[in-house]
Amino acid sequence: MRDALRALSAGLSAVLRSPILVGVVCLITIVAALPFGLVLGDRLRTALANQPSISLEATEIDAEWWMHFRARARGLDRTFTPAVLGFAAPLDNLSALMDGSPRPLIIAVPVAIYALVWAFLWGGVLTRFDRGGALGTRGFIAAGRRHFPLFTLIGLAAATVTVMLYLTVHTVLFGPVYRVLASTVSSERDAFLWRVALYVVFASLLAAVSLAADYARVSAVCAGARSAREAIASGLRFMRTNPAAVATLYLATGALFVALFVLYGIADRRFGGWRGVLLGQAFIFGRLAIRLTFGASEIALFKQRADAAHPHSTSRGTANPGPPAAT
Amino acid sequence: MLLYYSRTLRSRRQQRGLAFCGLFVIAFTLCAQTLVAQDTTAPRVDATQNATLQYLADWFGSYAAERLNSDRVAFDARAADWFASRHDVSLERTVIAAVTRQYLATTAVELSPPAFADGVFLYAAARVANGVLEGRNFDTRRVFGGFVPYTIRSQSLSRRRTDSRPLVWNFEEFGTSTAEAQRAALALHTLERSLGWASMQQALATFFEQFRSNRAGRQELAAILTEQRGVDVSKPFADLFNVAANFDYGIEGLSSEQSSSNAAAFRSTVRLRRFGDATLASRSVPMVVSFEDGSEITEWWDGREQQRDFEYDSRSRAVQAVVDPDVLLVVDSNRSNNGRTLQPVLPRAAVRAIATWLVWLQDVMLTYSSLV
Repeated sequence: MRDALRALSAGLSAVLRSPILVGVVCLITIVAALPFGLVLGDRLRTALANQPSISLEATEIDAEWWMHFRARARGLDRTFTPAVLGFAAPLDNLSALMDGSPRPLIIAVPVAIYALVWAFLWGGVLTRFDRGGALGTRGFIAAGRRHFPLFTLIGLAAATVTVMLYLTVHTVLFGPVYRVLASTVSSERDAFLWRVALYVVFASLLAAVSLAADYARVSAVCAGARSAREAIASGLRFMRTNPAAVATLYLATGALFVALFVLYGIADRRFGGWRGVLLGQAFIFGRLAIRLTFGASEIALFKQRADAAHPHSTSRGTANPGPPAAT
Repeated sequence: MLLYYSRTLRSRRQQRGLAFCGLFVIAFTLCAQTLVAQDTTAPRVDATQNATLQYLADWFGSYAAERLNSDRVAFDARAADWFASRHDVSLERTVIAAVTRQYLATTAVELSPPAFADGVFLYAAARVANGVLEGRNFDTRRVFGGFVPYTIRSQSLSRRRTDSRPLVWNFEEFGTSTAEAQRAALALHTLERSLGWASMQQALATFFEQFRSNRAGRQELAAILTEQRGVDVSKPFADLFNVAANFDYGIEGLSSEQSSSNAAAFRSTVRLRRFGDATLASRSVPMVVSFEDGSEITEWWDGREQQRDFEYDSRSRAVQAVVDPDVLLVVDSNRSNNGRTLQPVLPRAAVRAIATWLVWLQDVMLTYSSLV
């Protein structure tokens, strides 16, 4: 447990020393979403600008117009619901993830593009954290390009297993199993508690897959695994030999996310309008920082354990730590 | 912290004791939460029930109090309250729905067919909700299997300050209904917006009074309205309630060009079109043309015509034409063709909505990509 917390502390420290990296990753996330926003904006301009009930000076969208728009919406337009407003957005997304709620198929496009962007980013980010210092733009891009094919394959493998989990385990757990459990209780609250228990079971499986992909990437960067198979096997071996540390680190980082989530939920009640939008963007910024912290912590944990196993050897990355962090 | 502390305890007995204490605290919290919820629920149910009955009695006539089943209302309310937030008015909407259903059942008018009865219920309940929950009627989304309500306070479902008409919205708490019932409710909202609430309320009060202990439907309501207005409304009335009848009025074209004879003048043409097969009575469809200098012209169009061109000579260019600008015709199947503009501008609300949507999309991308 101490190792995991030490790794988390190292990860946090590494991210705090890399504000430009966090800023760049945030900017890339906005840029990845922007084309879809422009498409929706164009459609909204057509649908909204002609509407008499929408004054140019009005600051809120007319509820009746919105209901009518939703009734006729297709494709990307179908995602423009009140669930996008403020804290409802992450809450609804988390709920959809756990319930396996169907989303419009078009959403798979930005998600797939973003996953590919991260397949590239992870190469530079993990190499940077492994070396403990800035790589420079060229070094970052070179590391990203070098690991991109491997990380894409790892991502594809994880996506395949995740889809299989939704099609099999999720269907069974939240279908017949939940129905049987819910029929044994007399109140809604008890039924909900059973549902929470099933969420925990399914979330554990999702976390295991996500962790396997994470440590496969880490072992590719730190231990030089060359193929996806070798990287995944190495990652799984690491998880098997260090289950407590891996789980603790995951839960500790998860606690950071929960804290951010709760904080956003509380703050969202106090801010509306453009300040609410900025608050939402700050939440995304926080999520990205936590994601980077997790990556840096996993690297730290991996290296700690490698050092403990081979006290006289140095991992590839620590041989040349490079200059202090600038990016 | 509890886990960390438990590691410092040497004996298993101490660890078990700590686990038991933890479970006890959780159980106590859940029980206390339930008790608190029950205490705060009862007054809310009573207040909403009384307010709903007051509204319905004022509008449509007295009710048979002895036939109201308060236990049934409380039962419906219990299912909605167990995990409610302070601003969540799902409980109130559930009570309004339960009381309105019972009120309609006890007026002793046997509404027929069932779709009409459901439509009257949806319309009356929406009206009551607008009155009882004015200023605090917010959309509530149910997440995590439908168990956890979350109130979106930035989306008000109360009527606008400048508009006394009730907002038309599909409230989840009113239950699912057939397309025919929803159409009947929209038809009643359309009638109210066209005739005015005073006429509509008078017609419905007469309807409930006249057909007490009898079976009655939309034909009987149409007969009352015909008598009240002195005009036969049976044909448009039938179309309004017919789910297969498609009402769709729109602007097919708008142009505004400099006049060939006078350089300082503009000739503007607006083409109105009836895209649907259903028709309204004569001179019943309003259309507003706006000009660059801020002036406006309102026309009333015969809704039975297939299309009609309006031409204007003016010193200012026409910039926008909108048919049914005040959304009288709630049953219009496609409102996106109701307006044409020569100066497309994105309203401020839309710009902010897109920025909000972008934040949502980033969250979606982060959430799903974190799995791989």
